[in-house]
Amino acid sequence: MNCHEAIDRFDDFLDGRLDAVEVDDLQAHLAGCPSCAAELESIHELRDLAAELPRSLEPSRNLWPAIEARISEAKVVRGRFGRRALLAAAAAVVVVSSVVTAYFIGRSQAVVVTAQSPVVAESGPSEVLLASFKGLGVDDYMATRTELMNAFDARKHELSAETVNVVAENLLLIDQAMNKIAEALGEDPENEFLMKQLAGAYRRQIDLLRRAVRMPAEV
Amino acid sequence: MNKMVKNAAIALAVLMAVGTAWAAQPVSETYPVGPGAEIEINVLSGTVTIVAGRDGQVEVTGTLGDGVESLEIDGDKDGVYIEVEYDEDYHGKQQVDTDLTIHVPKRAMLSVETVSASISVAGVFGELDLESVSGNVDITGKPLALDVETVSGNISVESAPPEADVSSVSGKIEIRATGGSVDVENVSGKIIIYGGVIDDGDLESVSGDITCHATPGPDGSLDVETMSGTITLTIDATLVASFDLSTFSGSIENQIGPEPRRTSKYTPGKELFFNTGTGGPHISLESFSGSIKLITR
Repeated sequence: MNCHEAIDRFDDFLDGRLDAVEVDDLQAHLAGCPSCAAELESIHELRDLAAELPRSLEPSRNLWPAIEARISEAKVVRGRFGRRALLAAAAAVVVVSSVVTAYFIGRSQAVVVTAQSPVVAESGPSEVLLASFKGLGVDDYMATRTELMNAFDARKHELSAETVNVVAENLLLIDQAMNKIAEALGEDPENEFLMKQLAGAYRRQIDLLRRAVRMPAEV
Repeated sequence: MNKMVKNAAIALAVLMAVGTAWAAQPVSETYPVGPGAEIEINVLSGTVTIVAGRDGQVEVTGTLGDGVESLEIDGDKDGVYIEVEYDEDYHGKQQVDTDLTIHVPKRAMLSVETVSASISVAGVFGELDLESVSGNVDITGKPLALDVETVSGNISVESAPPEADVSSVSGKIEIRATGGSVDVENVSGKIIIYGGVIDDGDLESVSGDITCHATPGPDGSLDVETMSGTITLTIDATLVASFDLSTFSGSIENQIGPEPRRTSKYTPGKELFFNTGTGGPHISLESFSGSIKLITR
């Protein structure tokens, strides 16, 4: 078995679809080929990472009732902690989110995104944005997003520059959209239309990152 | 040998060497299979043309290009695996592509993976699962089910089956006629559906434009979503349906219903809900900054 044949069988091997003879052949090759062994290990790790990602975002179109319920809960939260503190917390989440994306997109664009963030900080969404995180079923949105970003970053060398740019530009586009929606929610926190738009933007961003992580290698 | 003769001899030698490198290896193989066999094909670059042929066999013809070590064909009557094996030590420029024409039973199930090779499938009625990175995918005929995915390759489908799942990142997706349930996803590439019927449709992009001229089925639903692309839906003026149009900052052009209303005094967003009768499909068009156009034929 050569390296090309071995790599072709990795997916089937990890899915348990190889028969005993094929497994023996592959393992014999791996024993004598550190390069293929390392490649298999990295695919294994990537699969584990993908498997750990929350699945609850996938049916997001049906999550609106939960988000709606959270809006009511958020009213209580506002009473306890005060609108200003929540505005600041929510704005901080959006700012960090933009900066994280910008970091992966490139330094020049990072300046642009960071420069836009104070606008959000002044009139950020607050309780509705926090409620939307919970409503989407993701307790730690930033951690999930960062994890996917890291996985995408680790795969960049396997993708063409054009593909990386398309993904980066569209992530930035969604980031900017979320900032604008969040800004509007800050002014109009009960607006269901804006909440749906925000939930949709979250879903599209996570979907896009997932696709980027799972894309076939180009180079 | 004078200098001119010597140079000519060197040039001839170089030409002969290049000629050898450019020589394509012809291939012609047949393999017996059952009528609904699963055919798996794996090619890196060049072209793969798959055509419905005689029952009972798979026939592979064409040429193997530079850097190809061999053509592997393996399997049994239930399934055949066809792979172009590349020479790992070959690092030369590809002057001759690998171009394969594969005749398969018309009810065969196909699973094709390429990197830059284009995929063309004609007249195969089984389930198709096609994946390419940068190769274009072109499907004519109406398969039983369809799952196509590219990164930058364009996708063209003549007649989508009752279940079709088509996605790309930056390639253009064109479907001549839809046939029931269709799920189309793109990032920056365009989505264009020229006609057919959609009973259950999901069309989605991030920045690519989405144009749909298909007719929503009587009890179906059609959801079209984009962030910054333009959505254009063309329908019959007499279509009875319920409509739900919304945009955060784009415009809404509507030729059949009432004027859209603002969603909030803090944003330029607009919403529009209306019915053109009782019952009928539900049509939802949603964008962030892209324009929405609901046009009558």
